[in-house]
Amino acid sequence: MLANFADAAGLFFNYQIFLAIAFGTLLGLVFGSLPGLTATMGIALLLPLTFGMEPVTGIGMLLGVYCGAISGGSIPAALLNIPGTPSSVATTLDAFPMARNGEPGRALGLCIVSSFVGGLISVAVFAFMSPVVADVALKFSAIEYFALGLFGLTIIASVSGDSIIKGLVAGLIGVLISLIGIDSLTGMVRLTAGIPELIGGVDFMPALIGLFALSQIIRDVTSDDAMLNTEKKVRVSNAYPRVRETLSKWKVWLSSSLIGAIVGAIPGAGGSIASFLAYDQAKRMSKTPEKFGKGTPEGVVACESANNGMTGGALIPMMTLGIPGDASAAILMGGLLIQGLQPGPMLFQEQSNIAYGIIIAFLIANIFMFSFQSIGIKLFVRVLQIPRSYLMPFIMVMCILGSYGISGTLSSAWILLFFGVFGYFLNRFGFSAAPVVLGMILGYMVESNFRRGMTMFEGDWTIFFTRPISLTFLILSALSIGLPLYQRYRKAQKARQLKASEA
Amino acid sequence: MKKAITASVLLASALTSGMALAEYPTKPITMVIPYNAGGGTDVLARALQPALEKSLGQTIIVNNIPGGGGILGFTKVATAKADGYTVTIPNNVIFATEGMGNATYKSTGFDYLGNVLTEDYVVAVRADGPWQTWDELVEDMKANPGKIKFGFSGYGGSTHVASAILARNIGYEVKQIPHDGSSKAVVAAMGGHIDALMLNLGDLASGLESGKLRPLLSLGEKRMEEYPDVPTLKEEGGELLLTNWRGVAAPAGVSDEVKEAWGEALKAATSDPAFVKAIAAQGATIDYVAPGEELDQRMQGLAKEFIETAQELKQ
Repeated sequence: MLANFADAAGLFFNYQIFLAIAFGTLLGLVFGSLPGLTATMGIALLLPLTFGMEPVTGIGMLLGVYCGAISGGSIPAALLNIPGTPSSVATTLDAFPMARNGEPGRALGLCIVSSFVGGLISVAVFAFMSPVVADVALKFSAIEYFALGLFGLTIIASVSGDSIIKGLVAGLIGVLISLIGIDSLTGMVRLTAGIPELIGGVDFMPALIGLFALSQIIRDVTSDDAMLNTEKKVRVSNAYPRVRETLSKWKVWLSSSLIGAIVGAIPGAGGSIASFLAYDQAKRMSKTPEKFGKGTPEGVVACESANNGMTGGALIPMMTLGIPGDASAAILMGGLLIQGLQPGPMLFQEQSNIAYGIIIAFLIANIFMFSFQSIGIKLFVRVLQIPRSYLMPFIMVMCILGSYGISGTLSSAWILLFFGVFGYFLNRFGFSAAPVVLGMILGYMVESNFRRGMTMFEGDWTIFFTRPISLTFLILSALSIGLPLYQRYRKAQKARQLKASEA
Repeated sequence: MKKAITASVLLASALTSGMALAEYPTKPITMVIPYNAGGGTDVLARALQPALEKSLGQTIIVNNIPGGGGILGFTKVATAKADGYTVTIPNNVIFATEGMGNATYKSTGFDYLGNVLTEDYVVAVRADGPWQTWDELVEDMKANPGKIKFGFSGYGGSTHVASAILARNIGYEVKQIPHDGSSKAVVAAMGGHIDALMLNLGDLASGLESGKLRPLLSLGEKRMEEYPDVPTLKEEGGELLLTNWRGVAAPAGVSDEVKEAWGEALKAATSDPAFVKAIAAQGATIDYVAPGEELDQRMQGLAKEFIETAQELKQ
């Protein structure tokens, strides 16, 4: 295998390839950091440029966009509480409070280093463990997808903020929204209220941009928040990550990056689930779980290493099975097909230079991503010094343009507006938006795969408990719900005993 | 003087409008792709784009409008102005969705500007399964009605209707497992979670190459180039001939001039070497048919078969 890499390295003895990857990464960072523009759009935009390039150069450029965008999404997430891409939704939970507590540089620094570590681990997984991970991905049938989705939904408990009941309500609203549109098992149109634009379901991206970006804009415009009026006093302090601090989080790094890589490899699961799962996992591993959501470094590290860990994972089914792991990988695969290359196991045998070259290009993209962000961090933090009255209208325009660009129809802009107002009121009444997003991502996955599984096994529900992967997720789900309840019960009991002994 | 100016303006406008008529296209053309970027239709559009732009002399704007299994994008085109500046790349799914009653368009709402390629419907089984030939699979399906898990892309889509047509034609019964898109069906079959599946060859390509899926049958007229050992249904004694297609269509009512321009442009594009290479990787066969009676009849035949079967499925 190392010989293959050495052979493929020959493709990199020209400056064009580095230039292309650097350009892609830079564009990705811009796309990722602008709410409304996503990794998928950036890749689609550059795709036609790759037609005239050497395969590895072209794909390398697209991979740069991919890494750059996924990592760049954390910049507005940390600084403005507006995730730049879906996979940085979970990042807002801790990075923004940290920035708000006067440490924006530290928050960004953690994001950047974690993205890089996640990226590196995912390159390693991609390069050396592809066949193993691909086999795991193939073990997922409807039954396992259901169990994974169910486990994902239990995370609502850790991201709902103060009230679990409110979190559940928000999560259920998300699930209901995810069910709008054509049901793929019966072909019936559900919950569209007769609006033809909803036949295809609620477009996830505009809804997400609305829930986070637009609602935040409305909030900023209507609030008299002390921090908002003192942007000029925000010090660009601690702009560089403290090496020791970041190194001490190696457990979170490793576990989150691996969660990212594996979830990324399961087709259709994707980056946002990966970062939520990693966040939940880090909270469970932590000795101080109560600090999560208030600006703890572990929370930031978990999300950001998971979503960049996901990138390499998502490439695995594409490269080894010819099946894209997410929307971005689907376009990358289109790029390969147009070059006349069929991704799949044969690619590694027949065109091993190209296959291994792509892995090297992916590594280079990660290095560029880290370098650009490390250089740019001081500049990014200055975003906070721009008066909100200039910044917010700009972001608003980007949101609307981005939503329109996703589908090319105005209905997406309406969805954006609707969810913006909805998100504003959710927040106002103490509901958090993260459970809504979880519900929207997982609702349809859980529902349709439950029914598909029941069809496959003639309504025999014991199948969920007899398949090992499914059973594992079900046990994890039970623990995820049961443990906090038990802990609360113990706490209450102790308090009672204390009271009794005092009396 | 004033008169002269008016006259010359009138004359100029008359000239330019006359020229516009003679010179379709005079402005960029929007090609609506009702699927996500990177999918089969999208790759086809982007592979066609350079050659089309060369022969039409105008920019082609590829606009992805995904959603509802293609319904949203196709609706947008069917309701667009029939001036030849909005086109799309349909396939059998427009008939299937019409029959299912979900479509907000009718297949008669399109004019066909030329066929580009043909894709075979292929039945494959998981390679670790016991079925070596189509006959063995049919025997098993007939002996155990409703037991074989048979997957396809989505409910009411082209591969669902095509599998239903095949089942009715041969007279077997399976457990139908719809998926959210063809790649999910391929993963399910590769993982051994379903027994058999029907998809278009291009969508199956990765599964077949991995060796985890075994092709048993194609519904096309001739054997597939890539898999010459796989028989067609005709050879196996069946009557049915069913293929999917991709071509270019515009809202119904475009002028003959538009059809002519596209007919020529597509003819040139389909013989372009770069295009041929890109299509070969997709597992499709180039099958250029000029706009006109032959194409229209072919479409009407497919429409009838798919719409009727989909209507039956719905009940």
